[in-house]
Amino acid sequence: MEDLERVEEHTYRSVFDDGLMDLFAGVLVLGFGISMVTGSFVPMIPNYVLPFLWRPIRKRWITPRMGYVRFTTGRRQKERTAMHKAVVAGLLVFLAGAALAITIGVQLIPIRHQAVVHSIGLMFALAMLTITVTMRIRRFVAYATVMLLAAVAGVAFGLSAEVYLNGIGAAMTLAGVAMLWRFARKHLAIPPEKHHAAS
Amino acid sequence: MPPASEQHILLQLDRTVHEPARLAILTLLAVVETADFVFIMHRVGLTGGNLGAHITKLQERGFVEVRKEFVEKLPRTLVSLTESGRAALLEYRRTFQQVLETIPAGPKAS
Repeated sequence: MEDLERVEEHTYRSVFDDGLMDLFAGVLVLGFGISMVTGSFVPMIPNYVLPFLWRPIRKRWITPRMGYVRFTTGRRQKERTAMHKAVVAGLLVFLAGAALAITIGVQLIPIRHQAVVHSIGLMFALAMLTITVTMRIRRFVAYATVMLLAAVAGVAFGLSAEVYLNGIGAAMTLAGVAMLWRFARKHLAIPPEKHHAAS
Repeated sequence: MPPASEQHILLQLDRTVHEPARLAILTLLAVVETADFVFIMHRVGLTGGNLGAHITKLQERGFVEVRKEFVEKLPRTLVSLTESGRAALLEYRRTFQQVLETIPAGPKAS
Protein backbone atom coordinates (compact mmCIF):
# COMPACT_ATOMS: atom_id res chain seq x y z
CA MET A 1 0.00 0.00 0.00
CA GLU A 2 1.72 3.10 -1.31
CA ASP A 3 0.04 5.47 1.13
CA LEU A 4 1.31 3.50 4.15
CA GLU A 5 4.78 3.50 2.61
CA ARG A 6 4.60 7.29 2.46
CA VAL A 7 3.43 7.43 6.08
CA GLU A 8 6.30 5.15 7.10
CA GLU A 9 8.86 7.24 5.28
CA HIS A 10 7.49 10.46 6.72
CA THR A 11 7.51 8.96 10.23
CA TYR A 12 11.09 7.74 9.78
CA ARG A 13 12.29 11.14 8.51
CA SER A 14 10.63 12.91 11.45
CA VAL A 15 12.93 10.99 13.83
CA PHE A 16 15.82 13.12 12.50
CA ASP A 17 14.06 16.47 12.68
CA ASP A 18 15.75 17.24 15.98
CA GLY A 19 18.71 18.82 14.15
CA LEU A 20 21.44 16.68 15.70
CA MET A 21 22.55 15.33 12.32
CA ASP A 22 22.72 18.86 10.91
CA LEU A 23 24.80 20.00 13.88
CA PHE A 24 27.20 17.06 13.56
CA ALA A 25 27.57 17.54 9.80
CA GLY A 26 28.12 21.28 10.27
CA VAL A 27 30.80 20.78 12.93
CA LEU A 28 32.48 18.26 10.64
CA VAL A 29 32.64 20.72 7.75
CA LEU A 30 33.72 23.55 10.05
CA GLY A 31 36.49 21.36 11.42
CA PHE A 32 37.97 21.07 7.96
CA GLY A 33 37.41 24.73 7.17
CA ILE A 34 39.05 26.05 10.33
CA SER A 35 41.86 23.56 9.95
CA MET A 36 42.58 24.92 6.50
CA VAL A 37 42.67 28.51 7.78
CA THR A 38 44.84 27.80 10.81
CA GLY A 39 47.00 25.12 9.22
CA SER A 40 46.51 23.07 12.37
CA PHE A 41 45.01 19.59 12.70
CA VAL A 42 43.47 20.34 16.11
CA PRO A 43 40.12 21.70 14.82
CA MET A 44 39.61 18.35 13.06
CA ILE A 45 39.80 16.33 16.26
CA PRO A 46 36.02 16.63 16.95
CA ASN A 47 35.43 15.04 13.53
CA TYR A 48 36.81 11.77 14.85
CA VAL A 49 35.07 12.02 18.23
CA LEU A 50 31.57 12.95 17.04
CA PRO A 51 30.61 9.56 15.52
CA PHE A 52 31.05 8.00 18.97
CA LEU A 53 28.79 10.62 20.57
CA TRP A 54 25.83 10.04 18.24
CA ARG A 55 24.24 7.09 20.06
CA PRO A 56 24.82 8.35 23.63
CA ILE A 57 23.36 11.78 22.81
CA ARG A 58 20.33 10.27 21.11
CA LYS A 59 19.79 7.84 23.98
CA ARG A 60 20.26 10.34 26.80
CA TRP A 61 18.81 13.49 25.32
CA ILE A 62 16.74 12.93 22.19
CA THR A 63 14.80 9.74 22.93
CA PRO A 64 13.57 10.82 26.41
CA ARG A 65 12.00 13.83 24.73
CA MET A 66 10.83 12.37 21.43
CA GLY A 67 9.81 8.96 22.72
CA TYR A 68 10.95 5.53 21.65
CA VAL A 69 10.06 3.89 18.35
CA ARG A 70 11.25 0.67 16.77
CA PHE A 71 10.80 0.53 13.05
CA THR A 72 10.22 -2.66 11.08
CA THR A 73 13.04 -5.06 10.24
CA GLY A 74 13.04 -3.84 6.64
CA ARG A 75 13.52 -0.23 7.68
CA ARG A 76 16.25 -1.14 10.21
CA GLN A 77 18.09 -2.99 7.46
CA LYS A 78 17.82 0.03 5.15
CA GLU A 79 19.17 2.22 7.94
CA ARG A 80 22.16 -0.08 8.49
CA THR A 81 22.91 0.00 4.77
CA ALA A 82 22.61 3.79 4.76
CA MET A 83 24.99 4.08 7.69
CA HIS A 84 27.52 1.81 5.96
CA LYS A 85 27.34 3.95 2.84
CA ALA A 86 27.70 7.13 4.91
CA VAL A 87 30.76 5.61 6.60
CA VAL A 88 32.31 4.86 3.20
CA ALA A 89 31.59 8.41 2.05
CA GLY A 90 33.04 9.68 5.32
CA LEU A 91 36.18 7.60 4.82
CA LEU A 92 36.61 9.17 1.41
CA VAL A 93 36.36 12.60 3.07
CA PHE A 94 38.91 11.48 5.62
CA LEU A 95 41.32 10.41 2.89
CA ALA A 96 40.87 13.75 1.16
CA GLY A 97 41.46 15.50 4.47
CA ALA A 98 44.57 13.43 5.10
CA ALA A 99 45.87 14.34 1.66
CA LEU A 100 45.22 18.00 2.51
CA ALA A 101 46.91 17.71 5.90
CA ILE A 102 49.97 16.23 4.21
CA THR A 103 50.11 18.90 1.50
CA ILE A 104 48.90 22.02 3.33
CA GLY A 105 52.22 22.87 4.85
CA VAL A 106 54.12 22.02 1.72
CA GLN A 107 54.67 24.47 -1.12
CA LEU A 108 53.19 22.58 -4.01
CA ILE A 109 52.27 23.49 -7.51
CA PRO A 110 49.13 25.63 -6.97
CA ILE A 111 46.91 23.60 -9.29
CA ARG A 112 47.59 20.36 -7.46
CA HIS A 113 46.95 22.04 -4.10
CA GLN A 114 43.62 23.50 -5.27
CA ALA A 115 42.46 20.15 -6.67
CA VAL A 116 43.05 18.51 -3.29
CA VAL A 117 41.33 21.35 -1.48
CA HIS A 118 38.21 21.41 -3.66
CA SER A 119 37.97 17.64 -3.63
CA ILE A 120 37.04 17.97 0.04
CA GLY A 121 34.03 20.08 -0.87
CA LEU A 122 33.02 17.49 -3.45
CA MET A 123 33.42 14.67 -0.96
CA PHE A 124 31.28 16.48 1.63
CA ALA A 125 28.64 16.96 -1.05
CA LEU A 126 28.88 13.22 -1.76
CA ALA A 127 28.48 12.32 1.91
CA MET A 128 25.42 14.57 2.24
CA LEU A 129 23.85 13.21 -0.91
CA THR A 130 24.36 9.72 0.51
CA ILE A 131 22.43 10.73 3.62
CA THR A 132 19.70 12.23 1.47
CA VAL A 133 19.27 9.26 -0.82
CA THR A 134 19.62 6.47 1.72
CA MET A 135 17.90 8.04 4.71
CA ARG A 136 15.61 10.36 2.72
CA ILE A 137 16.46 13.41 4.84
CA ARG A 138 15.73 15.94 2.11
CA ARG A 139 17.24 19.10 3.59
CA PHE A 140 20.65 17.51 3.02
CA VAL A 141 19.93 17.98 -0.69
CA ALA A 142 20.14 21.72 -0.08
CA TYR A 143 23.40 21.35 1.84
CA ALA A 144 24.86 19.07 -0.83
CA THR A 145 23.77 21.36 -3.68
CA VAL A 146 25.31 24.45 -2.11
CA MET A 147 28.51 22.54 -1.35
CA LEU A 148 28.70 21.16 -4.90
CA LEU A 149 28.08 24.56 -6.50
CA ALA A 150 30.68 26.16 -4.23
CA ALA A 151 33.27 23.48 -5.10
CA VAL A 152 32.59 23.96 -8.82
CA ALA A 153 32.85 27.74 -8.38
CA GLY A 154 36.11 27.11 -6.58
CA VAL A 155 37.55 25.22 -9.51
CA ALA A 156 36.04 27.44 -12.21
CA PHE A 157 36.33 30.91 -10.66
CA GLY A 158 38.88 30.53 -7.91
CA LEU A 159 36.45 30.84 -4.99
CA SER A 160 38.47 30.06 -1.88
CA ALA A 161 37.73 26.71 -0.27
CA GLU A 162 38.36 28.18 3.20
CA VAL A 163 35.58 30.67 2.61
CA TYR A 164 32.89 28.28 1.46
CA LEU A 165 33.75 25.42 3.78
CA ASN A 166 33.62 27.70 6.81
CA GLY A 167 30.53 29.49 5.53
CA ILE A 168 28.56 26.36 4.76
CA GLY A 169 29.81 24.61 7.91
CA ALA A 170 28.73 27.56 10.04
CA ALA A 171 25.32 27.69 8.35
CA MET A 172 24.73 23.97 8.90
CA THR A 173 25.88 24.21 12.52
CA LEU A 174 23.56 27.14 13.16
CA ALA A 175 20.69 25.31 11.46
CA GLY A 176 21.36 22.29 13.67
CA VAL A 177 21.46 24.42 16.82
CA ALA A 178 18.23 26.20 15.84
CA MET A 179 16.47 22.89 15.18
CA LEU A 180 17.73 21.44 18.46
CA TRP A 181 16.48 24.51 20.30
CA ARG A 182 13.06 24.22 18.70
CA PHE A 183 13.00 20.49 19.45
CA ALA A 184 13.89 21.05 23.11
CA ARG A 185 11.17 23.67 23.50
CA LYS A 186 8.57 21.46 21.85
CA HIS A 187 9.50 18.21 23.57
CA LEU A 188 9.99 18.56 27.31
CA ALA A 189 11.97 15.79 28.98
CA ILE A 190 9.73 13.20 30.62
CA PRO A 191 11.18 11.08 33.43
CA PRO A 192 11.54 7.40 32.46
CA GLU A 193 9.06 6.25 35.12
CA LYS A 194 6.37 8.36 33.45
CA HIS A 195 6.96 6.86 30.02
CA HIS A 196 4.69 4.03 30.99
CA ALA A 197 1.92 6.11 32.46
CA ALA A 198 -1.60 6.32 31.11
CA SER A 199 -2.37 2.63 31.67
CA MET B 1 -32.66 -2.40 12.23
CA PRO B 2 -31.85 -3.51 8.72
CA PRO B 3 -29.07 -6.11 8.30
CA ALA B 4 -25.54 -4.83 7.79
CA SER B 5 -25.63 -5.66 4.09
CA GLU B 6 -28.55 -3.26 3.61
CA GLN B 7 -27.14 -0.42 5.69
CA HIS B 8 -25.69 2.64 4.03
CA ILE B 9 -22.00 2.08 3.43
CA LEU B 10 -21.13 4.87 5.89
CA LEU B 11 -22.86 3.01 8.69
CA GLN B 12 -20.69 -0.02 7.99
CA LEU B 13 -17.54 1.83 9.02
CA ASP B 14 -16.08 0.51 12.26
CA ARG B 15 -16.68 3.33 14.75
CA THR B 16 -13.70 2.32 16.84
CA VAL B 17 -11.38 2.80 13.86
CA HIS B 18 -13.33 5.72 12.39
CA GLU B 19 -12.62 8.09 15.30
CA PRO B 20 -9.89 10.46 13.96
CA ALA B 21 -7.48 10.15 16.89
CA ARG B 22 -7.74 6.34 16.93
CA LEU B 23 -7.37 6.20 13.15
CA ALA B 24 -4.20 8.29 13.45
CA ILE B 25 -2.88 5.96 16.19
CA LEU B 26 -3.62 2.83 14.16
CA THR B 27 -2.06 4.32 11.01
CA LEU B 28 1.10 5.20 12.92
CA LEU B 29 1.33 1.75 14.52
CA ALA B 30 0.78 0.13 11.11
CA VAL B 31 4.10 1.50 9.86
CA VAL B 32 6.30 0.78 12.88
CA GLU B 33 7.05 -2.37 14.85
CA THR B 34 6.33 -0.72 18.17
CA ALA B 35 6.32 2.72 19.82
CA ASP B 36 6.00 4.07 23.34
CA PHE B 37 3.36 6.47 24.64
CA VAL B 38 5.57 9.56 24.36
CA PHE B 39 6.33 8.94 20.69
CA ILE B 40 2.69 8.30 19.83
CA MET B 41 1.65 11.35 21.83
CA HIS B 42 3.98 13.65 19.90
CA ARG B 43 3.25 12.18 16.48
CA VAL B 44 -0.53 12.17 16.85
CA GLY B 45 -0.73 15.38 18.89
CA LEU B 46 -2.74 14.17 21.86
CA THR B 47 -2.33 14.75 25.58
CA GLY B 48 -1.24 11.81 27.73
CA GLY B 49 -4.65 11.27 29.27
CA ASN B 50 -6.46 11.52 25.97
CA LEU B 51 -4.06 9.06 24.36
CA GLY B 52 -4.45 6.65 27.25
CA ALA B 53 -8.21 6.61 26.81
CA HIS B 54 -7.95 5.88 23.09
CA ILE B 55 -5.31 3.17 23.60
CA THR B 56 -7.58 1.53 26.19
CA LYS B 57 -10.46 1.53 23.72
CA LEU B 58 -8.29 -0.03 21.03
CA GLN B 59 -6.96 -2.56 23.49
CA GLU B 60 -10.49 -3.60 24.46
CA ARG B 61 -11.20 -4.40 20.80
CA GLY B 62 -7.94 -6.32 20.54
CA PHE B 63 -6.52 -3.95 17.92
CA VAL B 64 -3.39 -3.04 19.89
CA GLU B 65 -1.18 -4.80 22.35
CA VAL B 66 0.34 -2.94 25.29
CA ARG B 67 3.29 -4.38 27.13
CA LYS B 68 6.05 -3.23 29.43
CA GLU B 69 9.61 -3.87 28.32
CA PHE B 70 13.09 -2.82 29.27
CA VAL B 71 14.65 -0.97 26.37
CA GLU B 72 18.30 -0.04 26.89
CA LYS B 73 17.81 -0.64 30.61
CA LEU B 74 14.87 1.75 30.88
CA PRO B 75 11.28 0.58 31.50
CA ARG B 76 8.92 1.55 28.71
CA THR B 77 5.31 0.88 27.88
CA LEU B 78 5.24 -0.17 24.26
CA VAL B 79 2.23 -0.28 21.99
CA SER B 80 2.02 -2.47 18.89
CA LEU B 81 -0.65 -3.18 16.33
CA THR B 82 -2.10 -6.70 16.48
CA GLU B 83 -3.04 -8.77 13.42
CA SER B 84 -6.64 -8.08 14.27
CA GLY B 85 -5.93 -4.35 14.37
CA ARG B 86 -4.15 -4.48 11.02
CA ALA B 87 -7.06 -6.36 9.49
CA ALA B 88 -9.52 -3.82 10.93
CA LEU B 89 -7.49 -0.94 9.50
CA LEU B 90 -7.33 -2.52 6.06
CA GLU B 91 -11.05 -3.30 6.17
CA TYR B 92 -11.75 0.32 7.16
CA ARG B 93 -9.64 1.50 4.24
CA ARG B 94 -11.52 -0.76 1.84
CA THR B 95 -14.90 0.40 3.12
CA PHE B 96 -13.92 4.06 3.09
CA GLN B 97 -12.82 3.80 -0.51
CA GLN B 98 -16.35 2.61 -1.30
CA VAL B 99 -17.72 5.57 0.66
CA LEU B 100 -15.65 7.96 -1.43
CA GLU B 101 -17.14 6.47 -4.57
CA THR B 102 -20.66 7.36 -3.37
CA ILE B 103 -19.77 11.04 -2.91
CA PRO B 104 -20.55 13.05 -6.05
CA ALA B 105 -17.56 14.73 -7.68
CA GLY B 106 -19.44 17.96 -8.34
CA PRO B 107 -22.89 19.58 -8.16
CA LYS B 108 -25.65 17.66 -9.88
CA ALA B 109 -26.66 19.16 -13.21
CA SER B 110 -30.13 20.70 -13.01
